[in-house]
Amino acid sequence: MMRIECPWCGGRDETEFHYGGEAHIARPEDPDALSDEAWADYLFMRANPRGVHAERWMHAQGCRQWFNVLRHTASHEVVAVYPMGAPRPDHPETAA
Amino acid sequence: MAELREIDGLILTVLRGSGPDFLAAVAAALGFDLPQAPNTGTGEALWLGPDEWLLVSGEDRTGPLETALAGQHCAIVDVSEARAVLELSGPGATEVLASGCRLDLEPLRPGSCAQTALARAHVLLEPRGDGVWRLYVGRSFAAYARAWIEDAIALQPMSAPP
Repeated sequence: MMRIECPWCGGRDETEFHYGGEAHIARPEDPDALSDEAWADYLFMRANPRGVHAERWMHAQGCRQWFNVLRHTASHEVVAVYPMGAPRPDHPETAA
Repeated sequence: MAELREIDGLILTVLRGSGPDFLAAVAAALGFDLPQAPNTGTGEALWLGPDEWLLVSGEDRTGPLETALAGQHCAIVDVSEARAVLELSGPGATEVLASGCRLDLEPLRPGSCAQTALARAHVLLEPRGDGVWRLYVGRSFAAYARAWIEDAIALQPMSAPP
């Protein structure tokens, strides 16, 4: 069981949240200009690191707000919580 | 032994909006300020999100709010029929809730509120003081929540802990 620090409600159980996939994937400005390969890359290809991963979460059974989380995929340690739209905070990949 | 009852007749309104103009117009229409700190409430207005509140009243607030907020980007929705209001009171009421709720209830005092899961049902908890809790549950979950709470009451030890 993970505990996630909601920026508004504070620390809550993982079961109150929805996972929203990898963060910081920007929709291409002009999708028509992309090759099929580039469009498929945008749609389907995601990072799958063993280490710190930037991802989106939503406090579904609370304030229903979206935010970004840096989580270590092996230890499940939540190393940072930051707002949607903010750049990914610097963090050494070795943190666990 | 804890007791559970349903409270009828309250008018519940979800109010959404943001910005100083919105807050000023709402304060003028309601006669009080909306709570700004997360998970706080005045009894008449409970914080649901940074731009969302639940108004609890004996009278319909939608008319005056619609007038006061005309032209503003906001939402005013009567959810009285969509939510059931339950009140849990009596000795051991907090223990009954705690047996199905992972949130630490101990720090919650009157003037605060919290949305969380009670036996996996989404619920808005409002401590009313003296071990009395008000629960706002989605109408479709109300029968389940009532049955679960009554079951939890029956499972509590007969004597309250010292």
